[in-house]
Amino acid sequence: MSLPLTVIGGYLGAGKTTVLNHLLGNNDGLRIAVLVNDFGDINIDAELIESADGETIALTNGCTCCTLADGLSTVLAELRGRSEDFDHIVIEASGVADPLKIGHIGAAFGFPLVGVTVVVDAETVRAQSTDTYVGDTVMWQLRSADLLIVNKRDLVAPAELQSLLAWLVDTVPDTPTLTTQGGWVDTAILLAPLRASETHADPVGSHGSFESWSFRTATPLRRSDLDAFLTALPPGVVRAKGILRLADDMANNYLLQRVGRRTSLLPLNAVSAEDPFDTRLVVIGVPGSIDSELFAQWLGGCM
Amino acid sequence: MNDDEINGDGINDVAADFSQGRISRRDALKRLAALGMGAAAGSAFIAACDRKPGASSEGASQNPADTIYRNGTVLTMVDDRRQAEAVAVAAGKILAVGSEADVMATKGANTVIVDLAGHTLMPSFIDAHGHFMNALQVVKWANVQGVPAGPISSIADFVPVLQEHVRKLALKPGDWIIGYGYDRSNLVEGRELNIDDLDPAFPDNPIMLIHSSNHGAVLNTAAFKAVGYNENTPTPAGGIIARKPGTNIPYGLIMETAFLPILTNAPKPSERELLDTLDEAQKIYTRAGVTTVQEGATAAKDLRVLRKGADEGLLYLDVVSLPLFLEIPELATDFAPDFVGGPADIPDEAVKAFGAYRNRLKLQGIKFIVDGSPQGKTAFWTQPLLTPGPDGQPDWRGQPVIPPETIHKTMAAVHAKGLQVFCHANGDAAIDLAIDGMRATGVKAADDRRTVIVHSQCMRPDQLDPYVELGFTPSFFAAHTFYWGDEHLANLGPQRADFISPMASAFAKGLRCSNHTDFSVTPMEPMRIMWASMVRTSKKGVVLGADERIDNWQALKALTTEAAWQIFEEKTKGSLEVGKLADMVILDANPLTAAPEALLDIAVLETFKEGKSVYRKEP
Repeated sequence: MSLPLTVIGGYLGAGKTTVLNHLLGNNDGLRIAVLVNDFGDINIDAELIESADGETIALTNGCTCCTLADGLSTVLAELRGRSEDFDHIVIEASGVADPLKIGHIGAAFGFPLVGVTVVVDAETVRAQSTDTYVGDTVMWQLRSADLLIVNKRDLVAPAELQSLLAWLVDTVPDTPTLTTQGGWVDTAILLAPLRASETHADPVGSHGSFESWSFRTATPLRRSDLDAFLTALPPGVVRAKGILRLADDMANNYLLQRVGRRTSLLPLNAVSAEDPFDTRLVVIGVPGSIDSELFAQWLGGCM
Repeated sequence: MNDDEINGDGINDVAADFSQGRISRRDALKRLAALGMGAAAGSAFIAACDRKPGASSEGASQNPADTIYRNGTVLTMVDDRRQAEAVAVAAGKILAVGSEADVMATKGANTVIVDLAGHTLMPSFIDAHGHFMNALQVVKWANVQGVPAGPISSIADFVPVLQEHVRKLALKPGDWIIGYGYDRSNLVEGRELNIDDLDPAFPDNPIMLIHSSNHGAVLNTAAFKAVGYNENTPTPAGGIIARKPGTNIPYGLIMETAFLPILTNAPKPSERELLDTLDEAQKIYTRAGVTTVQEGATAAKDLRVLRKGADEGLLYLDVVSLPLFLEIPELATDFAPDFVGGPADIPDEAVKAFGAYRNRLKLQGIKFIVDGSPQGKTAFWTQPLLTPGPDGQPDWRGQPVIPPETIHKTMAAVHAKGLQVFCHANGDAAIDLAIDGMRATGVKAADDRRTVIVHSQCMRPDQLDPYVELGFTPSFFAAHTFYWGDEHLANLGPQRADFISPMASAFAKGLRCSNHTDFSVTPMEPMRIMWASMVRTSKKGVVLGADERIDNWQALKALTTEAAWQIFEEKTKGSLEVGKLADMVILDANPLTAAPEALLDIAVLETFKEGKSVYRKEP
């Protein structure tokens, strides 16, 4: 299977690097290849460093951090030959890059894009959005986001934060938005794929400050019904992931990834006789966004 | 640290002052001692400089000319005495220049007299901005640019051009054929080249003709096979794979994300292979009468190739390298192995490597890049274009390619270290960014730092005064008025397009400006860019800004004296004056008096680097 790709974008100073620092230290068991512009602000706990050379730092937890000094496409071409060594690729887009374009480049090298997450600075993003030099750039970045992370929420007054969130809804409607401080984002929200252990018995659980809803069925889903379900999910749903059986192709299991408003559905592997699972799906959202009865009804209608 | 020391001119200053009789031997020795030269070395150095030229018959008899050039036009490029009758050269330098009688006074028993036969001798041209590393590549590639930059004007032209390339490089079946400069807009048919045009003549050689934007290429079937593209290959997001009508078969053109992995995975020449092309690459310049070459955006790995070539004695032209600011951390480790830091932390050990030639390679300054290109619509303007952006965006005015904070911080650090700043800026917003960044350093024109704004194309009239105030010196790309003038009119409208590369306005403000080819973006043709700066006429024949046309003298200065001054080499290059290097070119007609259209017919007959012939036209 091809390694899924997540791009972390946002203007200089928004906190992309602190998000990545957290990710590298709390990798949730995933072997992540993190591609950064430079090591300047990357701050890896010395005890975590297994080895380091000029452009690469290998971590004891299986992650690797690599600079893009040789150019993004060169590094991606090299990673193609190391797919077995990793579970996920994360690219830090440069402060002025359109992260969606970076994602397209990654996809062209065979790494399916599963999410574009844009980090914004709660204090400065509105001013930046009208800046003479970078206003257009910041606006394009917001429009490219599947998921927005409003960082440094502790540095603005609550009323100001509410006004910022309202502005974001106006500016980029339908883009799920999380708030955080110190660049902390749950790895499960940002990029964790579904693992066998994550088949919750409880239909509704908690996931840090999020709510989640799990769904399991032995009946294959129809692709068109699944699409309708995904389209109907409210913006508060920030993440969905699942392994699915589709009536349209009973020979394969499918991996569903939804980050913010982006959904990707890719063949995972061929269905085998010992395969213990049918369709299982986890939906994660901000408090109040999960309506388990309604969701079950929507998906139930698919069957 | 002052600029003289940085540029290694301190000792040369003393030499010039002494040899031209401005200071005594004793004063010269004192100044050499202050520059760290011991007494014995100082005496020997002065003895070597003691060559009193021209007027002094004593000097002439002791140090006769190696060669005297006479019976032609001598274009000195000196303001108050533009032309002379003859030139004498000794030990690679100008020994005398002036009247035939004065120059002939330097004749000795072994002096060679060269009869110019009415041709014109002038200082060789200086490549004010271009990319020498591209020359190392394109000598192995077929030129498939449109007329006049290349030989292509129709679909039928490709096969014979590529066959000739195969013959010239003795390519075997299965070898890749790479071409550069492909663009549908050059073809009378107005359609893309496709596999059916190429396959019959090239069934076995994979072909890749790189698009003029460098963002795509046309491939033939053998090439598609080699890279694994077929009818089952999906078109990637953000990319183009043209398909044969009625089928899903890749038809030739691939662009953007469909092209990038192909380009990345293409075999790269080894360091040895690159070094082996240095001779052929330098010939691109000597054929054009150019003897000072620029590598104007040098990556650290490219600098290693150039340093190795220099150390192996493979350079016979002067190569001026401008390392890219983002490459400073990697570059720094070549000079300071323990270096850790960012672009703004350039270590002193690396700074010391700048400003003087070593084996014909000189690091002159740091190159910043603020935006892209106007024809690619990736430049950064304050006002939107009249046409959509590169991805169809409305109200598109481009974007900076680096966060302004990063550029400004690094600019300040580089400037504080005494290094010269070269800043690529095409759109007026990018130029504003350069002005803001340098103004924040507190620099003034009187500081003589010669900040070069590379391209400086889409200026606003109000930006000229800050250039004067801050001591900026633009290196213009006037040939854009010809190559892309029609596109600029459509994208920018006449008012903005007419002020592209405003050379007349800049000269009128007292700014010193050069004019460049940006090789290999356009061909190495000094007469073409001189012509363009004088006529400013597009391919369709539309004049862009008649007021910004300059005269022959200004146009020639932009290729010689001004270009030398921009890289702090005005004491040794740019004009034919006693003591300067005998870097010269013989042309078959005088470009100072030629009508603009006649410039394009002027041929380079011979090129000299420090008196030595490095190119001679076949009779």
